[in-house]
Amino acid sequence: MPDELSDALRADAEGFIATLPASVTMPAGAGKTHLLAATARVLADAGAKVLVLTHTHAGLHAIRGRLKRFGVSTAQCQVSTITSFAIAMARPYPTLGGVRVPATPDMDDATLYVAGATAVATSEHIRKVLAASYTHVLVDEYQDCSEGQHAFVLSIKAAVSQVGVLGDPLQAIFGFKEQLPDWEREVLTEFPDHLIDPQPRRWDDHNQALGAWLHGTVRKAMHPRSLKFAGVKFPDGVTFRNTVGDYPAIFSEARRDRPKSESVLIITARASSARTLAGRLGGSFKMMEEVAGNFMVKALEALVAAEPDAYALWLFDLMKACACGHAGLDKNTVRKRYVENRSSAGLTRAGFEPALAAFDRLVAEPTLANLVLGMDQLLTSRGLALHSSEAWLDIQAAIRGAVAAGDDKSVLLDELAKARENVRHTGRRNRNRVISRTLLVKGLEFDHVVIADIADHTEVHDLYVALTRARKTITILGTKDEIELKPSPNGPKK
Amino acid sequence: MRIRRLDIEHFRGIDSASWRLPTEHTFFTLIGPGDSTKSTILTAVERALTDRTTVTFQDTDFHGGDISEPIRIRVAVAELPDELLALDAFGAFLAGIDADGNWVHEPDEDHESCVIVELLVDADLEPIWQAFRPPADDGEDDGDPPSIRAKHRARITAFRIDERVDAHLRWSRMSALGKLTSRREDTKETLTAANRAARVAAAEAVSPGLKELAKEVQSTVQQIGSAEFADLKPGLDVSLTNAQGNLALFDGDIPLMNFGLGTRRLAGAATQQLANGGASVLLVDEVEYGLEPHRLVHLLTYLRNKDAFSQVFVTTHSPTALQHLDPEDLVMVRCTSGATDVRSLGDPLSLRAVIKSSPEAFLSRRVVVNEGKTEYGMVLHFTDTWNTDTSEGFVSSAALGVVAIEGDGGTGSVKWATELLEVEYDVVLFVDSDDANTNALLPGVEAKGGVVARWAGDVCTEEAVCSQLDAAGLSALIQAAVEVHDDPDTAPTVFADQLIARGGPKRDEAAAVDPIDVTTWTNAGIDVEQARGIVSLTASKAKWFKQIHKGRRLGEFILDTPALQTGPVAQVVEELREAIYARPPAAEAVETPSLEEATVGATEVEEPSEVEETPGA
Repeated sequence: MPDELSDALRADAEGFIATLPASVTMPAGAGKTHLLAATARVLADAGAKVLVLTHTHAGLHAIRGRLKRFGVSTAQCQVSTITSFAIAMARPYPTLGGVRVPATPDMDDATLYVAGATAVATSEHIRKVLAASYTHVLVDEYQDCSEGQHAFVLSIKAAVSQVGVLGDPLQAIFGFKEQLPDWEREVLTEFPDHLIDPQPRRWDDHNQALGAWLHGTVRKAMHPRSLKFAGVKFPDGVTFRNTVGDYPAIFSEARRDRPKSESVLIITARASSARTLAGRLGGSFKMMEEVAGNFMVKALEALVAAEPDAYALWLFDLMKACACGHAGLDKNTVRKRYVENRSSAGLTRAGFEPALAAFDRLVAEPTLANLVLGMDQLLTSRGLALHSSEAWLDIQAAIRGAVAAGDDKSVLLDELAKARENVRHTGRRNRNRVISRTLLVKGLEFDHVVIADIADHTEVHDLYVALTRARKTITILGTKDEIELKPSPNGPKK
Repeated sequence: MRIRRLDIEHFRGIDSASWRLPTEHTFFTLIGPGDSTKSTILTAVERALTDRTTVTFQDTDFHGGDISEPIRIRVAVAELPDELLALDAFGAFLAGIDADGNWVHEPDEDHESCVIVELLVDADLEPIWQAFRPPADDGEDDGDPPSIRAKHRARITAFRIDERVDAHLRWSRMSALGKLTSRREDTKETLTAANRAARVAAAEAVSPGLKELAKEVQSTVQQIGSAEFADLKPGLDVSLTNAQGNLALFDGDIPLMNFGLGTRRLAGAATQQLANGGASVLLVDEVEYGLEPHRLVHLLTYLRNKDAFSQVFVTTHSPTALQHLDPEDLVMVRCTSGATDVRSLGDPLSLRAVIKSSPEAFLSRRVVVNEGKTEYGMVLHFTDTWNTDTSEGFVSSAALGVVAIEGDGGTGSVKWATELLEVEYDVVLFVDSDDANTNALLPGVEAKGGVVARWAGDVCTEEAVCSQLDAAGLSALIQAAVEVHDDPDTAPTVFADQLIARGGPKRDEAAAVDPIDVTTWTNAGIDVEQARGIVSLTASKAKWFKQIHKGRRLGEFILDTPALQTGPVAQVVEELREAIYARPPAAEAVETPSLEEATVGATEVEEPSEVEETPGA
C-alpha cells in the first residue's frame, strides 16, 4: 500500500500547484523531495501528465523511490535528469537543434545537447508535442541548473506553463563548468517565490536538535566569514576534534562502534586521498566513484596501451589500487617479477596463492579472457578485500565486453561507458559505509557523517552540503580550529 | 487528423504512385476509367491505417505477383491528436511536410508536422507498421523506426464502408458501435451483462443507456439520409452461430442487417461518425452502390459537410454523383503500366459546366466532344455499329474508356475540349467546319494533343454529305429525315414547303415534279448541283437532324449510303474511327483482367477478425 499524504503535506502541495509557475526554496532536509513527490501525487490523482526533472542521478533515484512510496506510477509521472531529457529531445531533431547526438552520448558535450534541445523545444511544432505530452513540469535541485539548463527549462515552460521549480541556492556547488543563472534576477522572475515554512523533517526520527541547529544556526552562518569550531557549544551529536598530533583520529572515528544498519559517510576533499584512505581502512569503507569514472578510464586507457606481456603487471597494479590487505604482495620482489613478465615460480606468499596463480596465468597466456578470470580468482586470496569495488566491477565488465566483441580492446572505453550508463539509469549499488567527496553525495542522506578535514571545506556551499548530509551525528575533524569561509564560485571553477 | 500524402509501391495494380493531397480540401472523389486502381488506393489507405492487429496479405497482393519487391505504403498524417503527438507516441519521430507535399526529416516553420505511417510487407507476408522519416540532412541514420501499433492506428481511425459494414452494426469490441459504447459507459461490463442477459431474455434486458444510444444512432442515420427508422434499438441477432450471442441494431423487430445494402452502408457511416466524433477518415468504394439517386445526392451533400468527417475519400462511377460535385472535389486516377497518376482536377470554372451537362466524360479515358446534337447522335450510331465488330483483338470503345458527349456549340465545344485536354483526358473533337471563329481555334486543340475531326472545305455536316450525293441519294436523305421527324405524316408537306422556300421546285403533277423527290427536280430545271445546295441548306437551316436521335439517323445514313463510302466524308469518318479506337499506351492493362480484380474478392470479403472477440468472451 502506498503511503497516504498527510493533510498538511497535501495542503502544501495544493498550495504550490495553485501558484504555478512558481519556485519553492527549501533548506536541506526540509522535505523538498517529499513535497515534490506529494505534488506529483496530487497532480496524478487529478489526471495530470507530469514530468519531473532533476539534476543528478542520485536525485533521480531519490525521487523515483519517493514517488513509488506515494503510489505514483511511471505512466502518470515521468522522471528524468535534465541532461537525459535534453538528449531525448535533441536526438530525433538534429536539424531543428543543430546537434547530432551519437548513439552513445558523449557527456563532455552535455552542454551542447542541452542547447540543441532548447532550440528543438523552441520550435512551434515541438512546443505542441510538449504541450501534448505534459500538463505539469516539476524541476528539482534547481540551484544546480546552469544558464543553459535554465534556458532549456524556460523553453519547456513556454509550452507547458504549469512549471514548478524546487531548490536551495545554498546547496549549489555544481557551477564548475557553466555559469549559473542569478537566483534573484533570473530564476525568481520566471518562477516567483512560493513561501513554505520549512520544517527540519529529515531529523524527526534521528536527531531533532541537530536538525534545528542545521536549519537555524548553520544556515545563518553560511556567508563569508571566519568560522570557529573549538570551544563552540554544538547540539548533541555534533563533535569537533582537532587532529594535530592526533594522526589516527580519522581511523578511530571510522571504526567507532555504530549499529550495522546505520550508514556512515566519510567526506574527503579529493578522490586520490579518498582512495588512499579507503585502502588504509581495509575495505570496510567503499569508494564511491563519480559517474564519469575517471579512475576507471585511466586504468582502461593503460590497458589499451599495454602489450599483452604487460597484462600481469597491469592487473597487479589495479589490485594494489582497488584492494587492501596486499602487503604480502610486495613491490620489490613480487611486482618486479611481473615488471619483467616472469612468473612467481619459487616465491611463497602464504594466503596469496590464488592471486599469484592469476598473475602467472597471464604471464603464460596473456589474454583478455584470462584477465576477467584472474580478477575473480585473485579476490579469493585470503586477506585481500576490495575497497574500490565499484571501479573493480565496472572495469571487469568492460573487459568482459571486449572479450565478447572478439578480444577487441578498442571497445573497452565504450563498454565502460555502458556500465557507467547503468549507474546513471539504475542508481548506485547500495553501500552502508562510504568514502566520497561532497560533490558526489549531494542529495544523499547518511546517519553519520565524518568530515576528514574541515580545512578542506572552506566554500560556503560545499560546507553546507557536507554538514547537511547527516541525520544523527556529525564528526568534524580538523587541523585548525577555525576556517575562513569563502563564497562558492557560481561560475567556471578552475 | 488529416492525410497529406500517400505513396504506394508494388501493391496490386500499382507499381508506384505518389499522391500529394491538396491542403484546402477534405472531400475527394476518385474518378477514372475502370482498372485505374482507384479502389487499390482506398485499400492501401485502409490497410496502412487499420486498427486491426494484423491483416492477411497474399502473394497476389504484390504488383504482378512479384514477391521479390516489398509492398510499401506510406501515409503522411498531419493534425495529429494529442495522444499521438506526445513524446511517448510519435512526438520524437515527427517528420515535416510542406504545402506541396514534400516531406522532410523534421518539421520547421515552412512545414506541418506529421507522422508518416509505413506499412511494409516482405515475401514473408507479415505486415509491419512503423513510422518513416526521410533521411536527415547529414545523412545519419535515425536507428530503428518506432513501430506503429494497432492502438495508435485506432487513434487515426480510417474507416471503410464495404461489404463488412454489417460487422459495425453489431456491438463488439472493435466495431464502431462497440467503440461508441466504450466512450460512454464501462463497455466491457455493459456489454458482458447485456450479452449475457440477451441470451436469456433478448431485448428486454438491454440497459437504458444502450437503448438511448440506439436512439442517437437513429437520429444520425436519418440525418445521413438512410431510411427512416421507426424504433431503432439493440436486439439479439440470432442469425450468427456465434456462441456468445450478438447484440445488433434492430428497427422494431427487423435487424438492420436485413435492410438494403445502401441503408446498411449509410448506417455504418453514421455509427462511425458518432464513434469518432468527426475525427475519422471515411473511405467509401463506389459511393453510389445500393442507393437511389436521391439518397446518393443527399449522402454526398452530407459527406461534403466539413464537420462530419476529417476527410472523406470516395470512388464513383455514377454520373449522378458527379453532377452534384464540383471539379475541385474530383481526383483523377490514371494507371499506365503500373505507374498510377493521381491528381486533383483543380477548379477551372468552365469544367463545372461540363460536369453538370456531361458528367460521364469524367469517368472516361477518352472523350469525344461533339459540336452539337447532330454530331453527337452520329457518333453514337457510329460507335454502336463499329462496336459490333467481332474480329479477333478488337476492343470496343466502351472497353477503351471512350465516352462521347454533346458539346456546347462550335467555340463552346472547343473550350471544353481544351480544358479536358488540360486535365489530361484524351480528346477527340468532332465539329462542323462552317464557323470561322471555331475553325480559328482548332489548331490550339491539336497543339494540346487533341484529335480534330472536321469536314474538308469549311462546310457544315449536311453540306459535306450532300456534296457527295446524286439526286437519288438526296431523296434518300430527305426520306431519312422524314422518318425521324416528330410527325412523319405531315413531314413530307412541311419539308416540301421548307425546300420550296429555299429554291426547291413547287409541286407540279403535270410536269411530274415532286418537291421531296429530287430525282424529279430536273423536270423543273434544277440540276443536281443546285439541288445539293438547296437540300443541304434546308436540312441545316430547318434543323432536320438537330436532335440526338435524328443525328443517329444521319449517322446510319452515312454508313449505309454507298456514295458516302468513298471520298471526303468517308475519309473524315475513318479519321474519327481511328481516333476513337486508338489504343492507349496502357492498352495491355485493358486487355488482361488486372490482378486487382482477380484478387479483390478473395481478400476483401474475409470476415473481420474481431467477430470472435465478442465482449464477454
